[in-house]
Amino acid sequence: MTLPDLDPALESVTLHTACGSPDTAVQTAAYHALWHYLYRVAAAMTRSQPDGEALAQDCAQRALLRVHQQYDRCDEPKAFRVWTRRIVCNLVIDELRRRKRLQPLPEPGPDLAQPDHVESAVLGEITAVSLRQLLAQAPISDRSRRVVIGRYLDNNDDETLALTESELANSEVLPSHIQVTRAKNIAKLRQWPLLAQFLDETRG
Amino acid sequence: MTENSPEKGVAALLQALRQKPTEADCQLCLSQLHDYVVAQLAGQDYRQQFAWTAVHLDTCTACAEAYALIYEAALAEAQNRLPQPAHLPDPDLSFLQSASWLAALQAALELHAARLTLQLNETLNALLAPQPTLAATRTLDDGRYTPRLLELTFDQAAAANVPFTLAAYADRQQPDRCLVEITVQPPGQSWPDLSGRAVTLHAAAQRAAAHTVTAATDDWGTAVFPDIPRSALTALRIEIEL
Repeated sequence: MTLPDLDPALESVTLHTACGSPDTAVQTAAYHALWHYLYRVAAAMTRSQPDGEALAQDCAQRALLRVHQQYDRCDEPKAFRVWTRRIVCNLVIDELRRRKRLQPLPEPGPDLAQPDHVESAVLGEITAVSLRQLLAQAPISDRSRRVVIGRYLDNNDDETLALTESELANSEVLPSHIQVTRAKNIAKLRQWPLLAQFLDETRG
Repeated sequence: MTENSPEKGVAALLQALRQKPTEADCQLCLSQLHDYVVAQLAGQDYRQQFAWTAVHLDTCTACAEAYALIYEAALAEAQNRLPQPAHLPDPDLSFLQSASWLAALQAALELHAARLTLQLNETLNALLAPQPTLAATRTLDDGRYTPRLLELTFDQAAAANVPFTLAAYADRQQPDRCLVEITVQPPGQSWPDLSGRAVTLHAAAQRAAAHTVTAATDDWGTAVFPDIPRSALTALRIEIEL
């Protein structure tokens, strides 16, 4: 069968219409175009995995089927491509979690069980200055320290922090790198005995 | 305490340090991640819109890594930098064909009282053309009836929730004729209680007068119709007494 020549970068509404077409040739071509897109999204997410290509192919194929099964649920043709991207992203994340490829939660540290309202319990004892001084001694890198302090004590967003770190490193640092760095270092700080002691001592 | 005061920041950091995310937290976060990224890339105040998610991402490394994968894929798309594979594997689109024949079959079916009618047409017949890998010869007749022209298999009938199967074979002794075989098996019934049901074909051949032929099913539920003009297949109407 000769398929109509459809551009893989079809605009969302056109792609939505073609995927729902009663014309088998048009519909098939549209799903080919969608496959091209979904596979590339999945490949971008799995490129650092040891079996990245196979994983991308599997997730993109499952996404294609799910798009077909749930086609009627997409009631906004302009957002069809984004809707399909959400499906393939969720499938990749689910698969990576199933294979335990996403870093699991850190081991429980010292008992830092919190009262419902942190402010009322500890703010009288911990100030921005004292916390900044404490973090200056924390066993984390300078960059990690800047990322934590920058977000919480200097109220910078990740885009701003990423620009700063990009200039310092002279290479591109993305906001997503900032986010992952901060999460990992907050996990490290939880394990740091001095901070646990500090929090214990200052708990109301 | 103002929204951006140092005290607010201290409280938020202490909260993040003390938080122990649960699996339910992670599930909730993952369900919001895509919208979070879309808002972020659109330049919206995503940390305000998804305040809970933003805090969770600081307290859970697994979700932060999931976020990074989604963010970087969406960013690559926005910057037209999605990877171009050297070799793009072919997708399996067989589900499209399944859906097509099912929709076409259901559109061609009518049920009135205890009479089921199937109106064949060119579209449906094309979708019911047998796969090349299947045996294409009727086994009972020393190869007279071959190849198989149409087939509604047991699996297809089950998927469409219809109580009969259908096959049509070319007649090698009469090239313009074919044999049609219908097997009726209502739910819960089986051999030898399937005999005596009336199956009627209404054939409208192009060069002959329209004619109707009725046969009763045998103990296996099968009614056989030889000498049907092949040209009638494209508009054959099949009526089955259930």
